[in-house]
Amino acid sequence: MRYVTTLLPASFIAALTSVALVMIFLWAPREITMGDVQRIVYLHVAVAWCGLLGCVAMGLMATMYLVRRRPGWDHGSQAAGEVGWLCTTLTLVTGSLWAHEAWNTWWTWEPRLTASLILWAVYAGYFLVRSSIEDPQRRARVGAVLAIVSMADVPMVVMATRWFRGMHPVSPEMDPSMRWTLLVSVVAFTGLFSWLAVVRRKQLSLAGRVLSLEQQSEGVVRWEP
Amino acid sequence: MGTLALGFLAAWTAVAAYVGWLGLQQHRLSKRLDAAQQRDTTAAGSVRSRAA
Repeated sequence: MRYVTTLLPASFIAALTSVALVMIFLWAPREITMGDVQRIVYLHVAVAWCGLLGCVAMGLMATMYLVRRRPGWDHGSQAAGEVGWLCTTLTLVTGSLWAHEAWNTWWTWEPRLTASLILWAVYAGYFLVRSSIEDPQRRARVGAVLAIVSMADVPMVVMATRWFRGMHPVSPEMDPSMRWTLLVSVVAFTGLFSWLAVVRRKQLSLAGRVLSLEQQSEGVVRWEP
Repeated sequence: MGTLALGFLAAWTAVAAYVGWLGLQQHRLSKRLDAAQQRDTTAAGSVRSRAA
């Protein structure tokens, strides 16, 4: 059973990620203007997508928590948030490296970059607030509200290049082999980060069960998400 | 090429760090679970012996 639920998806994701890396470094052609550095875009777009997806997943599972009040939804929301934050951090790092080569600056207050930084700060705020609340029920409730509110930044990030005039590229012309590499990369990294979120969600559920077992043996009965 | 390597290195280091942290959390949880189950079994045993 462990083979089907854990090892099989992990092996599939490892194989897909390997294929994506081979395509990025060996199959995709070298871009004329930027050279090999352009290949960072395949990673940057994939992690940016996962960062946005993480925020949406976090908000939707938080909504489900508020409706159903099942701890599992809160665990899912937190796990999606953690992975989303990791991806948004990587988006800012890889974007900054690309910007240094393309625009000769590490950072500029360009609309999409600013919206992405706000998303990163929103994630950080979500975890800061969660860690400051001791009561598990209240922590889950406040966290859920924050997660839902944080979804408002997702359309800002996506539409920033259309709503405001900026420097960030919007759907640049690409060779078909580049498009395929980008697509495989996005699918592979989405699989990798989804798997990490699922593993983390299971771990948070186990943590809840361990805590309730500890409290039972100490004669304390409390609700734990 | 250096920038490209730096980008991928940063990404894989972050992923490896997160996976390592998950592994550490799992290890700690397993130890806590074992201890809690041990206490549970001991408590149940002492209740049974008192009842007998």
